[in-house]
Amino acid sequence: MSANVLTWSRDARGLMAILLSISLSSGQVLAQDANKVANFVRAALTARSKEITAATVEMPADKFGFRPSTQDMTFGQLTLHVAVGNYLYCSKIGGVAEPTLPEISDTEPKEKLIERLKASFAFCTAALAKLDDSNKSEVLTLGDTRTSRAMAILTLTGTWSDHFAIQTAYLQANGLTPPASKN
Amino acid sequence: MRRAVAALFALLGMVCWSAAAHDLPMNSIMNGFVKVQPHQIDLVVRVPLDLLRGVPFPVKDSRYDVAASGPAAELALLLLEDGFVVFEDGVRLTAASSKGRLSPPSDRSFESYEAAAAHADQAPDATAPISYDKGSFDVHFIYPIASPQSVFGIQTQVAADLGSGAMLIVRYIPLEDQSRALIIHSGDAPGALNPTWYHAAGDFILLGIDHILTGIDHLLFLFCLVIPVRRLGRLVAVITAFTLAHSITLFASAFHLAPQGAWFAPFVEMAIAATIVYTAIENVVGANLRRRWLVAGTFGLVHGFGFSNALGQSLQFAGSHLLLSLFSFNIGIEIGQLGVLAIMMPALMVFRRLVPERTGIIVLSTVAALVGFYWFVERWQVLKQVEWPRLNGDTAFTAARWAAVVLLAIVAAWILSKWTAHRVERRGRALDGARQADRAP
Repeated sequence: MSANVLTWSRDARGLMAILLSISLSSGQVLAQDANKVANFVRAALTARSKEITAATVEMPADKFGFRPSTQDMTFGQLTLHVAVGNYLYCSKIGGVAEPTLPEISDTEPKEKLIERLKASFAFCTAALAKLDDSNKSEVLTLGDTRTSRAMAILTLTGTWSDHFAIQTAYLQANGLTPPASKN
Repeated sequence: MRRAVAALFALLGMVCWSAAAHDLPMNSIMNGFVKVQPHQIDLVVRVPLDLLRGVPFPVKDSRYDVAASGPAAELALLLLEDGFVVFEDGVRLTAASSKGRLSPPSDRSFESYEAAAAHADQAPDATAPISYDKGSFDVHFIYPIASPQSVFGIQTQVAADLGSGAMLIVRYIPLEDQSRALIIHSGDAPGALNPTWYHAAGDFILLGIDHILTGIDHLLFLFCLVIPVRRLGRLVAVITAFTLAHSITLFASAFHLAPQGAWFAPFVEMAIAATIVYTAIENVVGANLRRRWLVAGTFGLVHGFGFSNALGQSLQFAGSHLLLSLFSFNIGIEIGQLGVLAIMMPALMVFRRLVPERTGIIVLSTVAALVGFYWFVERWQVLKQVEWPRLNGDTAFTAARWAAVVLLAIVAAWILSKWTAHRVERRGRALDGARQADRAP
């Protein structure tokens, strides 16, 4: 997933870390000794998929074309970008084939984009279900990048956090309360 | 709790919105040391926490909860074991020991290997405040080795998705030799820390071949040079002049004789585009083929600087074989060049049979000139954004030195040109004399 997805601040990510620590229950996850890396990505997936999906549902359909500036992605593009990244990374990390899906545009109706997003997270859940730490050093090819499975996991979990923070900023910019605040 | 979360989200939203138009601020440079010991290699690296944002280090009041960071630190270590790869004679080493800790940005331990290793081994100071994203995670891996005389290599895969944006600046400290610094980009192939002479030679020959084969601008210039050339003797003269000239500037650059500064590389790139345009236009208006070697030689100096830009950071992997590596890179370029000519020349011969020679030269050269001109404009746009050096004692000296070199090159070329012309004239006269003698009854 490219770094130029959107521009945003380190302070925002600082606050994201607080949210992350609240929602991930990291202490419990990391306390398990066997398959620590695999368990970590599964726990992150559970937490992030709920938050990202809820934030996407929260955004009104007529705001999916919103973007803070012309250099940024629209909310619809961001939603599709998360889904595309999920399919790519989870297929490679889980060692399963990436499904061939019909191309959809970021201007499709909200429901269709949410459907694609949810399907991508469901795909990740299935792809990572049997993951263990035995082959975390194996080198994977992700587009132009060759990196270990462990580093791919680090990238995937990092970008989930980034994307959720960006979604939150978009919601705030439209006067909306992020879903996590309503619980 | 709900209020706290709501307040955090509200603050998060405001911060994100206010900063949404700014560039992603990311510290993606890792610093470290690789020290060879009699029975082990120690790798100590400072990883900015920006690169570990997927790891859930606990945060309290916008600061890392260092006292509670143990489980996350363990996870970070597990992940980073696969972020850095150390090789001994091409075989990946496995860390026998790994330690890591959070560090505040104020920590200065990484100014020396000893301090860095000692610091990474210590438990973190739970009372030292570390604001989110401001600190680093320092790691110390120990890899058992078979022999300190082996050939070692290193690779980083941390944040490889950022491409060349993420890098490891590492100081290699061998058992018996001088230490040196290397810059290793994330995701790049493993770089040799102490290559043997034959490894260095082989690697740099391949690098040279790769550079010329992927250097489309160099190839287009070469193409422009040979479009009108039919005679083998002239072709040899042109290629020899080009080779000698680019070798001179390539070696000069490697020994830091080339101008320094951010402006130089884009200037050279633009000049390379200009050499294509000039040579192509000369072909169109009717090139003096007797002097084509002079054009090849003069512009070859520019292309040599271009080759040196490409060689740049790769030379750090030459180990103690700098000169050999330079020669090898040059040999690689020549091999690649000859390979391309082996395809180019027969193709041109076929083309000449299909299209009248003069028409063919004009068509091919016009296309090359247009491409070259496009690159020229494109590169000029890049050059415009670079700050030019201010004229001071140093820049004046460098400019004067290069002006003298260029002047000397012109004088040498002029003398060579006169000498060649004189030889040709003498040979012509001798031939005329022989013909007259043959005709005499």
